[in-house]
Amino acid sequence: MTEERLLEINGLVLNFYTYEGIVQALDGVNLYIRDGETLGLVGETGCGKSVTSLSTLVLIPSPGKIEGGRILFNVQGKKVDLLKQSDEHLRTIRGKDISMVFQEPRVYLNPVYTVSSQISEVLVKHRKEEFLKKALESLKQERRKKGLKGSTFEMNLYERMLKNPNSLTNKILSKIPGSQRRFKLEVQREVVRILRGMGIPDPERVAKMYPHELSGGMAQRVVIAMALACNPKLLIADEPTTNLDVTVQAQILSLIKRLKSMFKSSVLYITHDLGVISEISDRVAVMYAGNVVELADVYELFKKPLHPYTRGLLESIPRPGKPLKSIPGTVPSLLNPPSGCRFHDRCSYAMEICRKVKPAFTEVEKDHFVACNLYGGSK
Amino acid sequence: MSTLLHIKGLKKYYPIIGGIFKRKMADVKAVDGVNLTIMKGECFGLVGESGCGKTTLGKTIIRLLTPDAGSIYYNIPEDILEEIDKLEKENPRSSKLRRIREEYDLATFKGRKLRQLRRKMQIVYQDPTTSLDPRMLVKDIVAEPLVAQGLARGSEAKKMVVDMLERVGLSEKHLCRYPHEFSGGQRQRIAVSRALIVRPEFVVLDEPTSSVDVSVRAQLLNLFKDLGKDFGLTYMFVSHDLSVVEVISDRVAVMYLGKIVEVATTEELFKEPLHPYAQGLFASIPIPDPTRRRERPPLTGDVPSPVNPPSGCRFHPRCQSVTDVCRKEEPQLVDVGNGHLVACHVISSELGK
Repeated sequence: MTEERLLEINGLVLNFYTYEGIVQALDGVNLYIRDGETLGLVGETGCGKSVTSLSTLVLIPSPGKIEGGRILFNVQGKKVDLLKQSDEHLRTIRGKDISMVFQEPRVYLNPVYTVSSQISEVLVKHRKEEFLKKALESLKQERRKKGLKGSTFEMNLYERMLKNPNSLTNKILSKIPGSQRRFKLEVQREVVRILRGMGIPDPERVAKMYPHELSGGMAQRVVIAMALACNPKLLIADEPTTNLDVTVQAQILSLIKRLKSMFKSSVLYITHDLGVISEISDRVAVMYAGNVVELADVYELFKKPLHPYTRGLLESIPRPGKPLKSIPGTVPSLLNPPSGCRFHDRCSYAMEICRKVKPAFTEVEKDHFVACNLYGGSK
Repeated sequence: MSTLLHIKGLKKYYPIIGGIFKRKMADVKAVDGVNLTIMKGECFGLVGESGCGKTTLGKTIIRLLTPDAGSIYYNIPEDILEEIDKLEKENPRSSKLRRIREEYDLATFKGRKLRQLRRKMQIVYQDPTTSLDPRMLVKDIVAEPLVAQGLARGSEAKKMVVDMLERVGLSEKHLCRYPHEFSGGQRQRIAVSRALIVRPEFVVLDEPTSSVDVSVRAQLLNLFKDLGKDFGLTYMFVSHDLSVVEVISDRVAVMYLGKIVEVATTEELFKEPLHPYAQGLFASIPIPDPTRRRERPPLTGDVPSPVNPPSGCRFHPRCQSVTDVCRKEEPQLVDVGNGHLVACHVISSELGK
């Protein structure tokens, strides 16, 4: 293993405790993301794609419980298990080291705040010190130019805030109207700079808009801007282009690609569209009913899919001139998943062993992992 | 192959009401002068971005919406069509033309005539979760059109319902269930059987596969193909998913801001789209093959508002080969050979040379 792994999920098990019973949403998920690469996570509705990404941020909705496994994330050269961190520590990671872009941009933007106030919230939360210093510096320079000595109340306040970020007096003082004018101005400038980087025309005007004034593609750009405001190491994009038109989708995809190489971030891109996957990812993880069934390089996966489910998925892409194939049956209920391999009742290669034994996630070829009993022995 | 539908200059505007007197402030020009012909037995695809008026066009053709202008001729003899053409050219206000239109033009139909028409034209909506009544049983949902049309009742209707359900891949045991007990693909099958139970001739499929997964989508598309063959249906397949349209359609029309910009057979259009918008649209499809990635997005900018569309050619602010004439004059659909119609000044001037 030469490349550094940024994120590593090992045997993640997650159950939802509902009235109808235990929904076994994730059943030992294994995947890893290297530094600076894009991992595409593909699967049908309800296979656990989104839950996997939410687990990475340790944001599991209430009846859900993580029952096992590890999520190792590389923070400043050290590998930490995100599941064992305190809430407070997690809050400093979320939005700063790992951030997320969701499917419906308009749902995730607050309708009563302007674009700029929503983006600056992230900046103030994670990069406050930087902006305080900037504001202080620019105030000092201004006074020097005018030939004045001493300092104003605003400068004193910034100095105090820098020295003692958690003091209550400073918090109260900062509520005085106008006391943080320069600081807010600096944040505003950064917001406009970020929006310009997203390829948004006329960013000063857009910054003052409310979410309902934006088109779908524009709203998604704003959400991406928010996610990238702190140069995260990992960007999780959960079907960010599903509700957009193909032309806008193409724009957003090339934007994500450009930003990724600019910020040197890794991306976990979740989608059910295989076309998008082949467009954007370096490696692909295929999920089925709470398991990652195949993990491989994107060229390798499209050329030589190993798992029967991956093959079925690739064959059900409409291609002109060829008869459409479909995978028989439907996705099983996770309340009562099939025993052994969860795909066995839809699999045309199913053997006796598949009904009983859950296949292990094995590296069949270099960097090509499969969870299937067909390849279990050839390790 | 004979023509089933002739659509001429069809317009549908939605008024924007505002101000203290609730006056009409402006119009959303959802469908703005569409000319189309649909052949008997074909599957006619209609593609375009969201908000371009695809769904409105589909609904207006089957008269779920009343058009503001234009006419729709359904299955009429050639000689009458020729007469209409002649009359329209000579004297568009003649009483003879009015009489013919009242008899044949769906846009003028009302009351009983319209209800009889519903038997021949049906629609399958995008999202079966919202288009099926959650408080009705499957047997009632599927039998409702029969009862409404007065075609069958009671046990006779039930027999037809069971036959129909079996045709779409469901069975008798599903009769006494509610829509929420089904998966998305099955629900769409119920919606299809409801549309087909009155044995229509023309069916509008309004993005029927956009709410289901890839593997279910393939099943549904195969079902549509089989049913189309068995019942001799003519489809209008409205979708923004180009890969689906490519598989199922015989001919495809590309729509942009309420206008048709290109019509051609599927092979021709997907091999070589001529209109700059169609080219951009087709180049935007992500190809499920990592060896064929592209670097830049083919189209930039957003679709302009249909309330105040750009002058001249509606695509000119985003077009790369824009000329002066594009800003002023609206291009008409021109046949470039083989029934391939394009509305673009650049292409028609190249052909003129």
